[in-house]
Amino acid sequence: MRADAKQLAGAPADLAPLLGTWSNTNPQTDYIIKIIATERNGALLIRAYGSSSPEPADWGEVEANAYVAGGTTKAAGFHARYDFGALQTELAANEKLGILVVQSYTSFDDGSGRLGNFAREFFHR
Amino acid sequence: MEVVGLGILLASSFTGDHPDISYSAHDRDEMNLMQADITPLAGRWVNSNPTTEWIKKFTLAEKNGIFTLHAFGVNEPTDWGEIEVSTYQDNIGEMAFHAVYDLGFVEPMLAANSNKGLIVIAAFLRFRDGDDRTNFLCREFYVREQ
Repeated sequence: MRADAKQLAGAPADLAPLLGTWSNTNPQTDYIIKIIATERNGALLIRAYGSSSPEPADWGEVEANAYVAGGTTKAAGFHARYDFGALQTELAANEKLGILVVQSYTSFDDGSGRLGNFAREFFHR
Repeated sequence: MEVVGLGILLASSFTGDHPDISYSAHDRDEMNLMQADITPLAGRWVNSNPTTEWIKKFTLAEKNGIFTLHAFGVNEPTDWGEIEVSTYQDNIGEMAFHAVYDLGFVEPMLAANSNKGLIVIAAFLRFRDGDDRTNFLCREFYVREQ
């Protein structure tokens, strides 16, 4: 993922490297426990699940933007946004060596005064 | 509260006061979005990779509780301008920010965090219609300018 690697022109991203079910390497996470990435009509769809008991909380499906890296057509990451009204989360993810690294940037607009939260977690298939 | 239903109630507890971190916050655009204090990151930063083709340096600044980013690219337009960033903090006090530029032909979304004295920026570059380049991402490292 070098920034000096020439990006390809006109080539649709091959979403295959991102597709599937990704589980958090930390099963005790307090945040996203699982991400399911699927393709529909060429679009990348992300469904995240929050850590919750007894079952993970389904955040729903959102369309994500896919990105390539390193001068190939293979998708290497995505950006997705969840807007829950009182809470917004940006997910910025990149795949490397079979691990999906997900950075989340969460803002609270619920009047609680909570500060924006950042987290970086790792997922495997 | 709906947040509980999302399974991220505990995540929000990350944002509680860290004993070694002081915070400042302000209402932004009357939306009551609280900004983490990233004042320690203010200053000028340069890319560790001198052959980068994207952001070669940037300045982070704070004024009246608003944090701004002024980035400079290698290629035209070299001056990306100054924009406001959203700021965050993780559960161990590392700082982070998120910003979106609009350069016309491309919309770079910058997802950044500090780590061990570096600022790491994952840049997600989305090209607009009319520019046939494939969207791509890069992750680069910045050191404080000496």
